Amino acid sequence: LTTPSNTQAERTEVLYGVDNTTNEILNFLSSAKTQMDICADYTWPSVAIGVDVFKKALFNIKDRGIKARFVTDITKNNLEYCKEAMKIGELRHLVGIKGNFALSEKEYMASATLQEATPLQQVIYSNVKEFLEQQQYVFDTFWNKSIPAEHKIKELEEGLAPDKIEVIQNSSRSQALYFNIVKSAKEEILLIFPTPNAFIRQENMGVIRAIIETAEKTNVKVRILMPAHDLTENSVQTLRRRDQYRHGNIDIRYIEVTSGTKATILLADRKVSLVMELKDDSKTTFNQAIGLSTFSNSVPGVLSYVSIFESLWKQTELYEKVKESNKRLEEANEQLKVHDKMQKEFINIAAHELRTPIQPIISTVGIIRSRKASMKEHQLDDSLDMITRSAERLKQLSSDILDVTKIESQLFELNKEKFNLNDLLSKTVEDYKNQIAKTNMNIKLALRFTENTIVVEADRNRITQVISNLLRNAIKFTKKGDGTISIEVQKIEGEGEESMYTQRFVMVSIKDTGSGIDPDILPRLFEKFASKSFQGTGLGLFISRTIVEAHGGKIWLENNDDNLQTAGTTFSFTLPAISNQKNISQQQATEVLDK
Amino acid sequence: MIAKENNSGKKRVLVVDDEPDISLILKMVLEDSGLEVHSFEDPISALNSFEVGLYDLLILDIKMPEMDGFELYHEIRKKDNKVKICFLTASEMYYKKLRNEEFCSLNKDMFIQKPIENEELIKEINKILSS
Repeated sequence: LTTPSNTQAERTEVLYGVDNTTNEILNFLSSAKTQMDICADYTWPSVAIGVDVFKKALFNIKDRGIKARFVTDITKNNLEYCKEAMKIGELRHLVGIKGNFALSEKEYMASATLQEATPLQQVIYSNVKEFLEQQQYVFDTFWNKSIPAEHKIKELEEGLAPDKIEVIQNSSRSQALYFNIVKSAKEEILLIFPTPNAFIRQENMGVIRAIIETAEKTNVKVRILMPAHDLTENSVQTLRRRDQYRHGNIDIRYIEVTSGTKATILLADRKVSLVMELKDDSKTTFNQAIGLSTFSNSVPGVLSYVSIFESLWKQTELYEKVKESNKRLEEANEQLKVHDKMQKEFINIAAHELRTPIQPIISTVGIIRSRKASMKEHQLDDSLDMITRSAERLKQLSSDILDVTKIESQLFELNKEKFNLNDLLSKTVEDYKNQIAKTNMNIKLALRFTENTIVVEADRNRITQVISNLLRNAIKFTKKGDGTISIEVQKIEGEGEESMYTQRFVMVSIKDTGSGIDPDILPRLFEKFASKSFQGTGLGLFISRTIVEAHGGKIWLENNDDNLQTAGTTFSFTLPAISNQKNISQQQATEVLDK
Repeated sequence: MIAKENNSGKKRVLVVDDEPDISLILKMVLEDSGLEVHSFEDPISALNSFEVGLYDLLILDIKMPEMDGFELYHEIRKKDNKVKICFLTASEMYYKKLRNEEFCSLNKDMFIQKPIENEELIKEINKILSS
């Protein structure tokens, strides 16, 4: 192969030893006139720039105005050399390029191996024209397949992959890519499953596990949109529970299954998308079910998918809100129905209670009219008593109904004044004693004070109303009209609304020996219409509670014993007390009491 | 004891109403119209003392403690399926709704609404007695 050294003559030669090779290379570089095309592997930049003589010779080429083109494999490690090389000529990147050769317009040099930043041990030289043409073709092919160095450098420096849209025919490649994208996600994974089956297949394939691992390890936020279905409900619940205990990085929302959705869409870091088209949803494995897939890292395309995802995500939020407000409407409607039912019930009870006392009035008046002169005096008295009783009952009822109406329309007001509560109790109890005396009942009323004067600031009429209500109840439930009702008044210490100091309260207890109260009705007793009694509207205790609470007190009751038949009930209520000295002198109080 | 045979020739009526004033005054009104009237304030006692053939008509209140008028009606019907029974009630609900639902088979004249004028009541009762 060796021919005599002649510039005109064709020569192809293998040279050994650093000195020989270096000389040959420098000769080759300095004799170039118009072009210098070099294609070499990732070590080349370190040899070309890192070995001083070669670097000088290359820069000299530039100075001579020779057009230089380099193709190499740009990596993180040779990045700085590449940047230097770009000052000499045009540099392009071809991933994994292996051949090492250089072409001037008339000479060719090659080396089988290159070593990092080291002169060469062995080179091949040739100036055979046909061979040069052939190698030029190889170089041009590589050149055309390569990409500008700037792109690769940018990618390396910013971690960006070159823009690419690729259609993947092979579903096992899609599967591999799917895992890759999930595992290498750094910030965010967005995923849309088209069908429940798609979720199940991909869960079986292990993708969900990979997503959880990524979410937990690198704090990637995962959002999943999928149709709700019984088949996937368990997995979703498990996923949600598991995630709750960890980072709260995985959020799943449900979308409607539309016949149009036929692809699993995977988006990572808003930089890559993988759209896996569903070929046959009835298949059990991913590889059988998936047809074509499209991979893209082209920003406009990926961001379009992201925006579609975000719209759907927002839609589920709106859907949830609509559902929530529907629920509230339903609840409000339920409440209205309950209210409506209570109103109807009230009308029924009120109608009964209003009509009942009218009957004795009408009938008695009728009797008086028809009998007239024939009526004896005691008969007339009985008749008038009956009319009076019924009229009293109507009066009470109308005032109760009016009170409830005031309470419900928030027009209920108190006219407070300071007075001795003992005085008021004595008078009220006396009235009831007189009433009982007129009947054939044998009920004793026993009033007991712990102090002579207990001053309260309250609405005198309203407090009378409460006491009357409780006394009437006690009398009504005292069986067979035989028993004792004990009324007690005492001062107690209680927690005030401001817990800094203990507030003093007055407690009034009314204890009867009646039939006790059905435990079923206890919790509702102070509500409207709670009465199980067959007389009364069930308004008295509701009104009493409103009055007591408006004064800042409480009202409650206890059955005296578990045996309802004999034990009876104690109703108690409290009112805030006022210290005697400050508000009413002891003397004045005594005077009040004496009256 | 109430004599089973009604010697006076008067029609005999039983009034059951838990309101003492009402059972008393109804008794007076109906007696003034020429009927023999017995009254009870307690439906259980009324049921216990009921005997077949004793009364021409039973006038029952509906809303009563222990046993309401409908229950009393059913209990009496077990003993006697011929005696005339009518309801006298102040209730709106019972009067309108239950009359249609539970007692749709009953003649609607069997329900008389309280309050009612004496003459009107007597007219209604006589109508039922003579039907």
